[in-house]
Amino acid sequence: MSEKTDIIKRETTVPEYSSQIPAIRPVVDIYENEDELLLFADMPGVAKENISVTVDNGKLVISGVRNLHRPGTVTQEEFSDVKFHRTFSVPQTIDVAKVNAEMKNGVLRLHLPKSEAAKPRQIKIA
Amino acid sequence: MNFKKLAPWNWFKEEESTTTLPIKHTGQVVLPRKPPYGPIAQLQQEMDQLFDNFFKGFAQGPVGTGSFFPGSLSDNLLKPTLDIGATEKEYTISIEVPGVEEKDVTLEIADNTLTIKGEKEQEREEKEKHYYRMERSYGSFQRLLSLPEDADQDAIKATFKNGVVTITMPRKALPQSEVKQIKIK
Repeated sequence: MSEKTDIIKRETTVPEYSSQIPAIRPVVDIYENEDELLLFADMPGVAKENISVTVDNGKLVISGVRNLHRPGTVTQEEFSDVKFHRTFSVPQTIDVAKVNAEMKNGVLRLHLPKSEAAKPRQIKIA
Repeated sequence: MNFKKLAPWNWFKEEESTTTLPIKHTGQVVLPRKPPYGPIAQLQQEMDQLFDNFFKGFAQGPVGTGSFFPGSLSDNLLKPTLDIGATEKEYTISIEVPGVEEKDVTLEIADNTLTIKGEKEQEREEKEKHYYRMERSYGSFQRLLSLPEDADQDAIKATFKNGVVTITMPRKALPQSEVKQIKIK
């Protein structure tokens, strides 16, 4: 049986993630100052190694999986295992190479520095 | 069979009693309600109460929506979501508090009630000029939990990790209630 499968073709029928756990959008705050865009995303209970941040083609994707290992029966549940996932478009002016992220107290903090060309410049009058 | 063990403990006894604040009807003149007369009026009041209770629970949001501090619309205090689990040996309570520093969380026990409170402060970092999105909530938060009889209040432990506070409480064996025999004279 010869079955040609293009290696770079994305299989659209196969979901990229298992849909066992619900996916939700993390709430975010986004600020801007002269040097950078700052993004804070609430992702409580997600371990650092379970977070992925990608910037590709002007698209910023943040995702993280929360795996709460809870023994015994749960008698009251207001939050559960989820997959946080959210996509943003980032402007061209962002210097993708310098984007850095940190995780603190369940909050993902993303620094998106502006490229030098995009920063406001004072032009001296000679 | 010990049925008492099966009966679900009402953890929110205290919380319910403190949240029965007068309901605010914004933008609407509230006429003082006359005490209901007659069975129909009474039934109506009961129905109203039923609806109120239903929507009060509704404000909590469905499980796992991740909406942080869901009950925050009704009063000024934020109510972080929490989970309660139980094994034979211990109770586990976890509370979602992203962005809160460990030192800003206080746990207190008084009169069999565990109070989890604290303050979520807005990150003041680098000259923030303006914002595009402001979805996260800030301010004081509080949850009250009534502790079950068999919770060992002296051996409560709490850990803080990734914005989730986890409290573990060992369960102790309850002293058997004394059986008193009454003699028939």
